[in-house]
Amino acid sequence: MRRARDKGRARARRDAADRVGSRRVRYLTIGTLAVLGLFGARAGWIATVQAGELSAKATAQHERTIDLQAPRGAIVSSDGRELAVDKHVVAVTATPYLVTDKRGTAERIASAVELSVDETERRLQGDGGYVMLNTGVDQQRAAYLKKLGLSGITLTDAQKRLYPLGMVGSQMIGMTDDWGVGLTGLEKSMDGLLKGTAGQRHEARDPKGKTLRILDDREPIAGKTVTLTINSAIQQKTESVLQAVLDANNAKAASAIVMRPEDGAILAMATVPGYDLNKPETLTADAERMRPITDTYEPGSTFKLVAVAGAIEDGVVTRDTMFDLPETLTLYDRTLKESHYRPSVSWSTQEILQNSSNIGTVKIAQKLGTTQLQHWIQQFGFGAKTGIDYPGEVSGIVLPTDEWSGTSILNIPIGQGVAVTIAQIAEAYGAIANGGRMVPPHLIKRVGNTVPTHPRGQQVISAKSAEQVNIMLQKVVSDDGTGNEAKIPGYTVGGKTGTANKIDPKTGKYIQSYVASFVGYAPATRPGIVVAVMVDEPTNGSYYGGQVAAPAFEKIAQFALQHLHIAP
Amino acid sequence: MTTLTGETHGVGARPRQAAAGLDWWLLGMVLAVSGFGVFVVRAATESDVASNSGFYFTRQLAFTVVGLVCLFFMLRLNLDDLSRYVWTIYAILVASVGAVLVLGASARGSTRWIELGPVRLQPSEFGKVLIAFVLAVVVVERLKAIEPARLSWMVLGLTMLPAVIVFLQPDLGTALVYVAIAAAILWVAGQPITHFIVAGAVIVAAAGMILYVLPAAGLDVLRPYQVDRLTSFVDSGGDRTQSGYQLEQSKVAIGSGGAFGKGPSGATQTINDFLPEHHTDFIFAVVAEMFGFLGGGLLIAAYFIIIWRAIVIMRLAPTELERLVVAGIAAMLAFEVFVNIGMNVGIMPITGIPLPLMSYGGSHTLTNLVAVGVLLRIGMRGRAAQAAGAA
Repeated sequence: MRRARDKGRARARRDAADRVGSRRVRYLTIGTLAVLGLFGARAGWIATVQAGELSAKATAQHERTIDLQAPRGAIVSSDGRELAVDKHVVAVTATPYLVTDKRGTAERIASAVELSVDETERRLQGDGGYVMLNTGVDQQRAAYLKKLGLSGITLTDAQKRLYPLGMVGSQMIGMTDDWGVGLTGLEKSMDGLLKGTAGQRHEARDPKGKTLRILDDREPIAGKTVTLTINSAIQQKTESVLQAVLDANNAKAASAIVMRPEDGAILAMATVPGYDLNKPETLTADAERMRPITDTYEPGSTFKLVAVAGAIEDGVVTRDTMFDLPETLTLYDRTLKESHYRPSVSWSTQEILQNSSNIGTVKIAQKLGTTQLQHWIQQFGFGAKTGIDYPGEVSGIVLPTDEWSGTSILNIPIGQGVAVTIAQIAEAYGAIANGGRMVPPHLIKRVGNTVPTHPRGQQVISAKSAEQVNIMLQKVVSDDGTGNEAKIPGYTVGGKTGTANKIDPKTGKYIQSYVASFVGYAPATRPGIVVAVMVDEPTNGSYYGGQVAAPAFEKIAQFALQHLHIAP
Repeated sequence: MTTLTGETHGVGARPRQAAAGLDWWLLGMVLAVSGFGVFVVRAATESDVASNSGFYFTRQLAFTVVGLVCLFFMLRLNLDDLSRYVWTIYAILVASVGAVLVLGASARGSTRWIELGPVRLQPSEFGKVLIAFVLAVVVVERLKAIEPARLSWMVLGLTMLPAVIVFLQPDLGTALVYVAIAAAILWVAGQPITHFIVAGAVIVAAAGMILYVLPAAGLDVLRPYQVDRLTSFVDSGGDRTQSGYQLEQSKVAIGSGGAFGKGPSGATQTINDFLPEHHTDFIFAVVAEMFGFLGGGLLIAAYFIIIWRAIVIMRLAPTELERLVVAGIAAMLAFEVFVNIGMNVGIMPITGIPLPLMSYGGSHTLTNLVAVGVLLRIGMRGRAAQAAGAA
């Protein structure tokens, strides 16, 4: 009995324990189900309600769109020389936080990225995600870097702008920035055509930004090649002649244009000092202007063409019309002298031009009258842009008729109190060389395969009048004229010297510094080339256009004529 | 009856006998999840090792095969025999985790491994099964003999010794698993509910002190990265720490997987390495990215079945010792599943606990399969006892 009771109690106890146990087991099961259910619900929430936002985040993380740089169009000369061209290079960038051994890495790559070890190390400092080491190393250096396989150093194909002729035409061609955007010169003005259309690449990347694979590509469209009318040989010769003149005369600057009067094509357009396009650091404020277009000067005697040609065309004078010329000419309070003393003479129009007589030119202008003089100044393009296809052109300064004073007739006809550009002078003399047509100069021969239309030019004086002026200008370039230094053996040459006092920009008064110039054309018997040369502030004794600029004209023109196979 | 069955002769009799009472639900789910785990590890890691796309896959496959062999060995285990060596086992456990602390190899600021030639062992993983067994033996031997409070203190002390060593390695996650195992064994043993309430309150207070109060006072019990991991789940949005990043990336992976997933080869967050630790801690997010909420949900359901079967086996267990061992193992699996998936979906702190049967890892995979083997063995014995009782 007792045993049975004990057994019963034991069972009861065990049953009680079992009940507790099974209750706790039930709690565990329900708890498990609840927790897992909660997690499932949470996962479901993320995967449905938040799915859109999180998917977008995922896409943003592992996909990226980058621009594919279009190869920039080349700038080439009319004789096929590349003046500016894109070269395939390799850009070297670093991800500093991935570079653990900064010093060691710097030591190994410094020479390949063309930096000092210290500078390389400095750029690798910090934990930034991106730093440029070199925008373009050549393929050999790139191969070396690739072989090193350093962590955190990235190589990317890139284009680098190269200027094979370096200094040649530097201001005209201009530069691009590190991203291939034109900054100055033709690189800037033609940027829209040169740059092409960037492509787009859609790619998958890993968290460190490494490209895993390309998803799709839209190929870039290469920029167009711009062909200039420039002849590279004539351009180079022009620059070397100008440099020699600059050095010999210790001048501030020297500029020139070589142009075909027939169609206005510019064969050379140069200014020294220039700079090396491949070394942007050589650029100075003095060297960056394309002066024949952007700078004006007081032309002096070369401007006498306007009064003489106008008077001939208007029939006021002929080549042989005689003028009595006193030693000096006084009007109101001003007295005009010749640049060299001369006794009273009687000279023909031709002789006046030949000897560059100030008083004679004023007499012709007086005969022509103020209104017609102004008309011819405007007809020969002064005071207005030539319309050359190059940026930054200025109009020059011509005094409006209503601002003329009583004595203006003493200085305007002889090129004082006006400001012109070399391009304007070249165009005006071109009109004499081509039989009376004002042909706007141009620089762009072709863009891609498109040939832009260039205006044929407006006839401003008759061919007959042009011929009369031409004969007189040929006399200038003779043993009897001021331009005899400009003679080219075997060729007929027409031209005119010019010497002008400069005006101090501060005081507005003439000072003892000069602009020496010469503009002429050859052969004179038919349209060949017109060359205008200007030397700013020669300070080595002589400063006359006939002595400083005319020899430069001769050298440039002779080279150009022979190079172009133009017969005398 | 049993003897009759035992004496049956003929082809296939032995295998049939050996498999008698086997919990097919549990075995089937474990095999399915393990196989799926190997597949996911393979798909997730193909581009992780540049020279060898199958680096993780071949290793995980090997771990799983070896683990399954161990699992079947466990089906012949006799726990009663082993219980005589309980203190030896406990000494081995403490010594091995202690050895790791002293001479283990260092990896990522944690020291968790002992290198034995080419094999890297993580004793704290195997320790989870050992501690479950040791605690079960201790509790069974003293349950009737000593006061509940003393027993709880004793179990707590026995647990904390290896747990603190593991924590110092530092491996907070595994240390917490030990505590969970101890709690489950005490709970199933029927210890007064007040013990759990007091312990819970102490843990909450301690966590608050360690994570927020003491660091503010300039005293760091945990390393800064551990605090980050534990607290970043509270607000991961503006968190720039690595843990916040991991949590954010986990959510992005799950969210971008949507309802039906992007497929094993379209899981860009995983394959392109935007989801860190994708073969270990964040493998659930990988599953969700590849197979969507559907795949993640099915995986959660599979874990529920596994835990449910463990609980069923716990009820069937023929002896108190076996019941408590099952409780410890079930707690281990459940705790790891909870913490890991909770971490993946952003509602539990990041503690670096792998997902059982899925995450890459040798010691971890072996331990879990051995544990499942023990469950199956006890389940078979339970069925046999049930059958005997019915007879």
